[in-house]
Amino acid sequence: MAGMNGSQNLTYKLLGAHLLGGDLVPGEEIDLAVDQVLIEDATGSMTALQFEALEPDRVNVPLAVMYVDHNVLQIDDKNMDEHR
Amino acid sequence: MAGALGMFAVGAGGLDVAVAMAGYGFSLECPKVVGVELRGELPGWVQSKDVILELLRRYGVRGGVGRVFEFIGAGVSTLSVTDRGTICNMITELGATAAVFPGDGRTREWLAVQRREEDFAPLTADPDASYDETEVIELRELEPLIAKPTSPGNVVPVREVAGTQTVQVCVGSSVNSSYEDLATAAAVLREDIVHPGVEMTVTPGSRQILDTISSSGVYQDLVGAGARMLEPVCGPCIGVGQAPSAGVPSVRTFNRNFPGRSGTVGDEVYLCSPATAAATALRGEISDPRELGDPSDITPAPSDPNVDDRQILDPPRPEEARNVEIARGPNIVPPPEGQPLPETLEGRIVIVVEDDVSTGDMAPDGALGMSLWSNIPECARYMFRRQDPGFHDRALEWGGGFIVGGHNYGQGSSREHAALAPLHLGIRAVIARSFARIHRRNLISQGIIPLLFREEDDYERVNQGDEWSIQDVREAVAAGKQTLTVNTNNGAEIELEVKLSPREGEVVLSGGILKFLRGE
Repeated sequence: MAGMNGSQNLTYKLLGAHLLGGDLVPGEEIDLAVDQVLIEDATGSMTALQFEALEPDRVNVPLAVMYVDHNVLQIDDKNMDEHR
Repeated sequence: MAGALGMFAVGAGGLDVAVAMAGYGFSLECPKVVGVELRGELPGWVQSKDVILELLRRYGVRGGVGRVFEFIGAGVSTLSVTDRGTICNMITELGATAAVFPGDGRTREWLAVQRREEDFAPLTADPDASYDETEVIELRELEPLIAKPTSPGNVVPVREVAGTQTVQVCVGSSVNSSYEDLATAAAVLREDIVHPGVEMTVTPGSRQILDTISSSGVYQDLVGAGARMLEPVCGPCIGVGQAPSAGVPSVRTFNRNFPGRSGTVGDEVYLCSPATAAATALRGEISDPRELGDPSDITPAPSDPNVDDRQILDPPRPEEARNVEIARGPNIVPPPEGQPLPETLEGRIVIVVEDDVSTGDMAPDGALGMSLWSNIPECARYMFRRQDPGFHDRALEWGGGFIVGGHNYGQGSSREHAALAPLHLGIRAVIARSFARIHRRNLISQGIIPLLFREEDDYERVNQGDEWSIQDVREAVAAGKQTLTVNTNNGAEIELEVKLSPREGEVVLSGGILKFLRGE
């Protein structure tokens, strides 16, 4: 929120610099441009399936990183099958 | 966690992340901003974990909903970037949207060590910036705190539970796995050994931290004291190994202690700082580290942390990407897709669950649980197993229906499997006293409508098996109407509240965000 003289807290500076739509009013829906996406493997395999369902040509953010640090204990063949 | 570097970083479900990654941006409810003024400096043995536990003590697990916590004041510069990371990691346990620290001298220092000083930009609030709410924490007045079983909001001073016998102490995981955290534990244990009645594990936060503790001698100190060194992964925090005995305290530096999350039904997990955990490991009972006398110096970190990004692989070029063949084992099953919202929602109440049910109750983790996360029909068999093992079969037998929840329905992890499993089971609406932010959005993204009781006490009037009919739902959502009336088979009328942004309404009408974006 902006003070009476237009001074801003850091949160609204960051949100304002990425605002694609909506107004910075608490409770209102806002759309933000995304600089970075981080995806871990446990929720990430489903994210990848959903991404595929959207049928995009390419990843369309400046940086997206996917890493494996959750689903790392192979108690049968399912896990290894997923990480090939 | 990235809020520690002056970023606005927010957790989200997989489909919302996929949508963002495809370039559609990310939408969320514009938060209120709480200005948290930190004053003074932490006393010995009190760590940044105690700052976030203090906020959890004040706010509980629901008090931060719709809010960003922005840290300001002279005390901020006394916290390192990794100290700040501990606070940002756990801000979501308040139900909050994010935590933000300024980009200051400490940030620059950290980036320089990571050979990224050129990425630094100063980021601060304007000097007279205003906040929707304010909070003050006198750092020097804090003492070691601990969250008792089975909620991160169940916080008391360590001295209140001191003397409680424990058989397990776990340090590390995503939170409190920095070099300083592990070196603090090593300093406590250096001249001694872990209590014979205790199993202690230590999980470094990354390959880089494993490398630095190896070269500084902290690794050897911990091994010598009897700690079991684990690989740098989530591990016991999500029930992958180290499942404790039921009814026996396990003391951990992690961020969540929801019932059963450790892998054991009836677990008793406590959450605390590395200093408190190390003192507890030494004595075999929950211990206030201040009883150990003056803190001894930690082994300094090597000046060069061996930055090495060779294992971060670049994406293939577009022409190569087209030819990539994706290997799919038999356990990778395409996820279910939502259906357009019908005019009338009819069905039975398949289950009524209590307050603060976590997404871990809907899609359990652990090595078994997570091995099923690409296979929703299998994953759904475990939904609400802790509450009611009959839920899955009943939902299928009744052809879906409604779920009724209490406050803070769906707190915890962002896993969208907690929305995909009920979608697979034919659940079309969840009615609760209140929802946790990410899960509410995940339901909408999958085309399941979240509804609220207009009178909170009506929750008490709902029973499993009741037959509900909600007329003209589609029309109401399309018109932005906020009230729906339920006709129940026992003659009672219950009023529900529809609270959706215009875009969320359109997504629900379409049957989820995939159909919405395809214009179906």
